[in-house]
Amino acid sequence: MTLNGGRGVRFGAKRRIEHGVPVVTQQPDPLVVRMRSGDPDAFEEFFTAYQRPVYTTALAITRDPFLAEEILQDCFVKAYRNRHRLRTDRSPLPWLHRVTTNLCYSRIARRKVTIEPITALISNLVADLTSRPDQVVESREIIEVLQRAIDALPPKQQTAVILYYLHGYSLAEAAEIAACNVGTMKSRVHYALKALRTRLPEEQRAPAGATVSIGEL
Amino acid sequence: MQSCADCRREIGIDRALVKNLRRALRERVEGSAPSGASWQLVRRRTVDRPERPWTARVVQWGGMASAAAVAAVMLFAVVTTPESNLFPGTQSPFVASAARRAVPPLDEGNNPLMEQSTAYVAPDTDLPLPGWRTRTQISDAPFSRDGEPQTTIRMRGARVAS
Repeated sequence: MTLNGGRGVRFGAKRRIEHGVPVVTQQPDPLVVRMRSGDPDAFEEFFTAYQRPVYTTALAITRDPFLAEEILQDCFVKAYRNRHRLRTDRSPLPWLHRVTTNLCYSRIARRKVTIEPITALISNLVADLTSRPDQVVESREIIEVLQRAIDALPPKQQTAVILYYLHGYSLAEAAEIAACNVGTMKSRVHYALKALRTRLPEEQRAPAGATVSIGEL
Repeated sequence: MQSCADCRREIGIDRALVKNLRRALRERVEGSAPSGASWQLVRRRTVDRPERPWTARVVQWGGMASAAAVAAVMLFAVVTTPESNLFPGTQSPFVASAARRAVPPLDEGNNPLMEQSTAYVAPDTDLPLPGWRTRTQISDAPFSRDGEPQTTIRMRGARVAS
């Protein structure tokens, strides 16, 4: 990532893969140029390059694979229709993320339904056999509480948490995507963590060995 | 920081929270990927779909513009027309109550002047529907003996003076 002459953050060509989510896999700029010039294969390459981060964001917000799939399609249809307005001097990924989050929250507001994904149900059933049963149950409870707490976060804080902790974007990159200042993004992440912390029961906030040793500081 | 156990504990709690948060977020997206049919559906809606001709856009925008113009004209007409023209025969309840307060009701049964008076009292008639025109009646008073319409004292005085 480089700063683009004070005009904002410019996303680099090869980004690291964090948390199993490939962020940017190839240099995006020629794709947009080719799309604008009417190359029919360019749009397919564009879709292949960016479908994963867009889908991941949609799924992380909605927790519904079918809805995430619909949002993915709507997002790329929008990108195709606005291809002449996409900028060639920077990655389209921030724009795609912004469109995705907007689509997610408008759909959620329309539906007002939270569907428990089947993957969560399965992961509830499959226990980690290497851990002690009481530890597994406690850990599962914490994750469940956190999942509900993430759902309850305001949309802006939720987006900040997803961009920063799931995608592994830096604060500057997340701020670029959310179209806000770095300070604002930092504050959103801070208040999101604070809200999540208050949601956890007192005994689950401080697990055994939570105190950091002096060497770890 | 090194001497403050509480601070180190707080940092430890935050780290544990972030670790669990990352895990929770990962669980949301793990094992899911966009289906292979997504591209086909997107392609059908974009590349394979012929662009609308400019005439279709003109028709659409023209229709919307004319509808908006009609709505604007109707709104303007409603705003500028006086209330009495819109709903003839009706009166604002506020005006009616104010009028009642200004002029006390006349007790017709006990008023000796009313018995002698030949002044016409219009019957209370309800309009069949708002907007219906009613025949205007000036007076039901009988004609005088000489065949001329009844005149008031003031009118007679004016006639004499002339």
